[in-house]
Amino acid sequence: MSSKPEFVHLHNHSEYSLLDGILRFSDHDGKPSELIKSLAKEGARGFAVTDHGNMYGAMECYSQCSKEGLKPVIGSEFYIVKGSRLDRGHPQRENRHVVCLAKDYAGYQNLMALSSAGFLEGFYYDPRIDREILARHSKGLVILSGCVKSEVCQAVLAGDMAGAETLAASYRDLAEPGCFFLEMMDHGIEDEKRANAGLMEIHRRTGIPLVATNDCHYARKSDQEAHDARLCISTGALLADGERLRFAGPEFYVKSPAEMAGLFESAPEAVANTVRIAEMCNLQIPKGKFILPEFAVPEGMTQGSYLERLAREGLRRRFPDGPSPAHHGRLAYELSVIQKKGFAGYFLVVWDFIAYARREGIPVGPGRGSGAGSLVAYALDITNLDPLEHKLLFERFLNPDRPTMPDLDIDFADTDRDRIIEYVRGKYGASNVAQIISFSSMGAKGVIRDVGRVMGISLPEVDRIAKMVPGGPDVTLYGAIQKNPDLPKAAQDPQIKKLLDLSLKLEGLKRHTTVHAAGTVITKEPVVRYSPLARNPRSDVVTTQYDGDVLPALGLLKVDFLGLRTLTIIQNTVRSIRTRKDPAFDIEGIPMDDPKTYELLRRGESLAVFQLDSSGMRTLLQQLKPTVFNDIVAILALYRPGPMKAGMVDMFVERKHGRSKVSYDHPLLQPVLQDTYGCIVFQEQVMEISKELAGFTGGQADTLRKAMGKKTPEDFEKMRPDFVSGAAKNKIPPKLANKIYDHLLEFGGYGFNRSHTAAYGLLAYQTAYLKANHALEFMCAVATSEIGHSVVGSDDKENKLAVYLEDGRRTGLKILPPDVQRSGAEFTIENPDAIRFGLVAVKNVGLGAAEAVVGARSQGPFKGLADFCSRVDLKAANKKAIESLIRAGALDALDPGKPPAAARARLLASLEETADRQAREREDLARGQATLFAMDCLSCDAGGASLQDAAPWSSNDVLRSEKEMLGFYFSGHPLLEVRAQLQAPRTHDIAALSPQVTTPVRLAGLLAQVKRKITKKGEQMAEAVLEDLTGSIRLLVFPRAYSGTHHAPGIGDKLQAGAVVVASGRLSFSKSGSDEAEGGPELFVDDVSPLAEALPRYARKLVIAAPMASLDDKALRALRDVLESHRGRCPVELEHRTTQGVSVLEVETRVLIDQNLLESLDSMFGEKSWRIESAS
Amino acid sequence: MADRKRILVADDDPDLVDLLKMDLANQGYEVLVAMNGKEALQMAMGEKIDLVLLDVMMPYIDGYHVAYEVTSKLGSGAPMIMLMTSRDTAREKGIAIMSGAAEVLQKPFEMDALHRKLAEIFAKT
Repeated sequence: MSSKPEFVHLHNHSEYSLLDGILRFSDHDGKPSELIKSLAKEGARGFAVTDHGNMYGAMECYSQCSKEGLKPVIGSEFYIVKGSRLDRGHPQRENRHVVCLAKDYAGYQNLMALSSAGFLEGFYYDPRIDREILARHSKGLVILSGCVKSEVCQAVLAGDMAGAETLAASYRDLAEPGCFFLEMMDHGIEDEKRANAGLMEIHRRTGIPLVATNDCHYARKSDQEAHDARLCISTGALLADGERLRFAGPEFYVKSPAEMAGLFESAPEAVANTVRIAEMCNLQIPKGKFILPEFAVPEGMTQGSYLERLAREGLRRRFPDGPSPAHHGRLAYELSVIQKKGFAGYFLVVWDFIAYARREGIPVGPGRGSGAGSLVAYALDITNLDPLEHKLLFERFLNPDRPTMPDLDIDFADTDRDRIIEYVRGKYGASNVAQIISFSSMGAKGVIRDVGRVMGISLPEVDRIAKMVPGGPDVTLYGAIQKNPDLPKAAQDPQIKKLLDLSLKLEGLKRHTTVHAAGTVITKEPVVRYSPLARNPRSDVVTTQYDGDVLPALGLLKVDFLGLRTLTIIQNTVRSIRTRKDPAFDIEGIPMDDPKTYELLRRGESLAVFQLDSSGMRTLLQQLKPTVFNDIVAILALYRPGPMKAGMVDMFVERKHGRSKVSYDHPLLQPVLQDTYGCIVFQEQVMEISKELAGFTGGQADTLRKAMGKKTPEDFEKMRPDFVSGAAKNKIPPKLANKIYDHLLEFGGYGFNRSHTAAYGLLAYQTAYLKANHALEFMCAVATSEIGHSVVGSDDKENKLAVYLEDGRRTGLKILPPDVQRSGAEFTIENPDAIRFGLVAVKNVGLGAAEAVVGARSQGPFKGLADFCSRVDLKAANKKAIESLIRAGALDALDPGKPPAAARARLLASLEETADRQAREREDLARGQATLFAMDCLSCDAGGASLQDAAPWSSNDVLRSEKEMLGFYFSGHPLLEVRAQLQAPRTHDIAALSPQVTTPVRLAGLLAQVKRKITKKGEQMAEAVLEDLTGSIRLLVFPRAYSGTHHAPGIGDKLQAGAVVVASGRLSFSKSGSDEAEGGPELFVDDVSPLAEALPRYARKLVIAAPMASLDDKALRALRDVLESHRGRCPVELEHRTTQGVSVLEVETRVLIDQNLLESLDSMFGEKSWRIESAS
Repeated sequence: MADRKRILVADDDPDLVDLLKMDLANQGYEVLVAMNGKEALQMAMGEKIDLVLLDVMMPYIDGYHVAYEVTSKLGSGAPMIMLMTSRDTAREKGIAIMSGAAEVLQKPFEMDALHRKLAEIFAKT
C-alpha cells in the first residue's frame, strides 16, 4: 500500500456541459490540456467525463487522456425521471441525476443507447432517461447514485429513509452485481452533509458500497470566477445579480487526492472505491479501421473489381478518342492506391448517389475540396474536371502514406439536396444515416463581448476592447495581447484587466450545438452503434453527438452533401436559354476563352457571379484583368486575408502585366510555376516542387504541404534535410536548395487547394459566361434564387435581390413590376427583353398564394378587383397577401387608367368589402344557393368602375409601400424628392467617408433599418442603417444617446425606419470585419433629428434661382406671400437670371425652411429652382 | 370720397417733398411728411396712413427696409407702399416688390402720372 492517498475523479463536467462546465480536455492547439497532462504526471489512475445528459466530449476525453497515458473513463450524468421518460408532465426541477460509467465496449454501447434515448425519446427541457431503460441497458455499466440532486439523496433529504433505501436497492438490482455505488459529495453544503449521513446509513443496512466524488466543473480553485462568468453567459445573467443561478462556494474544482482523502476521512472506503471503479473500467474503442456501409456489387465481382470496371468505362466515355497514356497510367496508379487502402467501397457509395442525382436531373457541382484531384472521381462523374489538364494532384486528395479517410464533398443544387439524403436513407436504412452535430465556441472577440456583458461593462467600452482584437478564424486572445500593445495598455484599468483575465480563461469553450450544414454519416450498422445521437431542439434534426472530426477518426464514412444555390441558378438559366434561344445549349460545352466573358470580368461587372460577387473581388478583377481561365483560378486562391497581407496579390498583378520581372531560382521551377507568373499560389505547386526538385514521393509531398498549412515550424524544419539532400541528387547545391525551401516556407503557407479552386473557378466562369452572354436569363434565375434568401423588409440584412435588380437595371435590363395579369410565381422573362417580378417575391405572398393567382388567371385575365377576388382562392391568397400585392403595385392593372397613387388607394379601400362579398358568394355557391349576385358577378366588374373612391396616396406613401413589399424603391427613391434639402445639414456624403475623416460628421439620409436592442443591463440601444443617395452606413445608438441624460433628451423615439433624418456623431472604422457585418465605417451616433428639424438649424441661406421670365410682379408678390408665411431666421436670396447675367437680390424676409415651403417653391418655379446653402 | 386719404411723403430731398406736399394737397389728399427712413418708419407704424410715397435712398434706414418692416409688421392693416427709385432695373423692381411695395414709381416722374396711379390704387380699395 502506498503512503500517498490515491483518488480518481469520476464525476467531471467538461466544457461540453454547455451550461456550466469549463474543464478542458484539449488546449487551444488541440493538444491534451494542462489538466490532463498534470493528472497524468501525478500518476492519476484515471479520469472520467460525465457531462450533463450528453456524451459530446466522450471521444475527446478518450483520445486526449490516451495520448498522455491516463485512463479515460467514459460516462455521463444522466437526467432521470421518476416515472416514464416518455411522459412530459413533470416540471424540469423534478428531474433527478444519475451517473453511468462504461466498464467495457458493451457498456459503452449501452451508454450510447441511453444517451440517444434521452434525446430522442425523453427530451423535455433536458434529455431524460428512466429506470426502465436504464435496467435494459445496464450491462457493462458502473452506476453511481449521483449528486445531491439524485433520487436517493432527495429521498434522504425529504426525511424518507425507508424510501431512500428502497430506491437504492432498486438501483442495485437493476445494475450488474457490485456495480452500483452510493455517491457521496462534500462541497461544504449543508444538504450534502445530511445526505451523506443518510447514504452511510443505507450503506450500513444494505452493504451497497460508497464512492466519493467531487462535482468538478473547473480545474483549479482560482477558476471559480471564470466558471461563474460562464454560468452567467449561458443563463443571460449579470455577475452582480443578486438572485441568479450560482454555485455554492469555490469547491467545484479538481481536488488533489490528499484533499479528497481529507474530506472523506470518515469514509476511507469511499475514496478507495474510486480507484476500484477505475480499475473496473477498461474501455477500448476500436480506431483506425474503416467501417464502410455495405455496397452490393454484381455477382462474381469484388468491390475493387467493380470499381475498376466502372472507372475504365468512365474514362473511355470521358475521352471518346481514347484516353492518353498519361491518363491510363494515372488511373491505374489511383486504382491501386484505392484498392490497397480499402476505399473502393467508399468510391462506390459516392458514385452511386451521384449517379442517382444525374439520373434525376439534380445538378451536381464539378467538385469541391480536394476530390477534383482524382482521375477515378472524374471517370466516375463524381467530379467534372480533368485533373491532368488542370494540374491537380491525387495525393492532395488521398495520401498513400497516411491512414486517413478521403473526403469527397459534393455540391448539389440547394433545392434538391434533401432528395439525395432521402435516397441515401432509403438505400442504406434510415437508422444508418444521420446528420452531424457541430459545436460553436467562444471566439476571441465574442468572449470579450460576452464577459463584458456579464460584468456589466458599458457596450461602447466593451466594443472598444473587442475591436483591439483582430478578426479571423485563427486569432486567439492570448496572441492578440502579445501583438497589440493597446490591449495591455487598456488592462491598466483593473476592470479591463479582469475582463481580459476572465476572457482568456473562457476563450474557445464550446457554447452551442448546431447541425452541421452538410455533414452526413453513413454507417454499416445503425449509427447509434458508433456514435450517440442527439436531436437538435431548434431544428428537430437527429444528429450524431460526435462532430465531423471525431467520426472519420472512428473509421466512419462521412459525406458532406452541400447545397449550392449557384447550381440551381445555372440549371434554371440553361433551361430558359434552351426554351427561348437555343434548344441545344449545353453549359459543359461553352468555350473557355469567350471574349465577352473576360471583358465582363475585366470591367469588374461580376455582381451575382459565383465567388466573384464581392466588392473587393470586383476591384481586384479590374486590376488583374483576367485573360485566361487560370487567372480566375488564381484570383480565387489569392483573394484571402493571408496572401493579400503578404502582398501576393500585388505581386501577381504586377507580374501578369509585365510591370515586374518573372524569374525562377532554378529552371526546374519554371514548368511548375509559369502559369502563375512564378508566384506560388497553390499547395499543389509546393507539392510539385518538392517532387520535381527533391524527388519527394506524393505522400511525402502531401505531408510537407500539411506541415506548411499548419505553420508549425518544427514540422516543417523536420523535412528540410530530406529536401536538401533530395535536391542534391538533381545537382542543386545546398545553398540554393535552402533558399528555395525558405521561399516555400514564406509563400507556400498561403497556398490554396488548387483542386477546390479549379472546380469553383469553373463555376465562376460558367456564371460569368451566362451573365455576359445571356444576362436576361441569368439575372432572372439569380433573382428567383434570391427569393427567400433576401428577406424583404428585414431589419438587419442587406437585400441582395435589390442589389442585383438595381445592377440589372443599370446595365440595361428592363425590370417590370409585379402584375397579377402577367407575373408568374417566380421571376419570369417577358418577351422580348424584360424580367417580370415574381409574385412570391412580394412580402407576405407565399407560394400557395402566388399559385392561386396564377392558376386563376389561366382562365383569362382578371376583369377587376371583384373578378379577381371571385376567381382567386381566398383561402390560399388571404387578405393580407392581396393587400401586399396591392401595395406592391401588382393590382394596378385592375384599376385601368388611374395613376398608381390613386389606383392603389382605391383598391385597398375596396378590398375588405369586395373580398368578404366574394367569400360569401363562394359559400353560397358551395351550399348550392347560387344567388343573383353570383350570376351578376361576371358582368359587375368592368375595370375600376365599382371601386370605392379614396384619396390618392402621396408619392412618398407609394414608394414606402414598394420598399416594404418588394425590398426596394421600385418606381423612384424617396430621397430623390428631398435631395436638395439633404445638402444643407450634411457634412459628408456617405460614400465620401474614409478613415481620414476624424472630426465629427453629420450625415443626412433615410433610416432604412432600425433594430432596437436591450443591453444586458436592461438599457435600450439601437442599431440602424442610414442610406443616402451615395451609399449606406451602420449607425450605433448607445444607451446614453438612446435614452438621454439629464442634460440632453434621448433620441430613441426619433429612430423610425423610413424617416429622413440627420444623424451626427463620430465615425468608427473597425479594423477588420470578422464578427462585424462589414469592415466599413460605423457611426456612433450622438444625435438624430428629423430632416425637418435639422434643416433650419444648419441652413445658412435659401437661394431662389428663378428664370427671369417667370418673375413678373404677380409671381414676385406670390413669392413674397409664401416667404412671409414661413417667417424664420434663414436669409433668402433671389437670383435673378437674365441674358446679361445673374444679379442677386437680398430679400428682406427671413424664413423657416420646411417641406411645405420648398414644395411651394417647386410648384411656383419648378423643381430645382432653389437650393440651400449651409455654413460648413 | 367720404374720408380724405392720408398720404405720407418720405424723401430726403426737401424740394421734392415741398412740391409733392403742395401738389397732393391740391389733389385733395391729406399729406404728412418724413425727411428720413427712421421718421418714415415711425410715422408709418404709428399714424393711420393710407399710402406711403417712399424714396429708396434715404438716411438711417432705406426705403426697402421701411417698406418691409411696415408691411410685414402691420400685415393687412399696413398702408400701401409706393416706392420711388431712380434706378430702373428689373432687379430694383424685384426688391421693391419683395419688400412689400405695391407700386414702383420711376424717378423722375410726371405729376400727372402720379395722380393717375394714386387714383387707380385708391379706386381699388
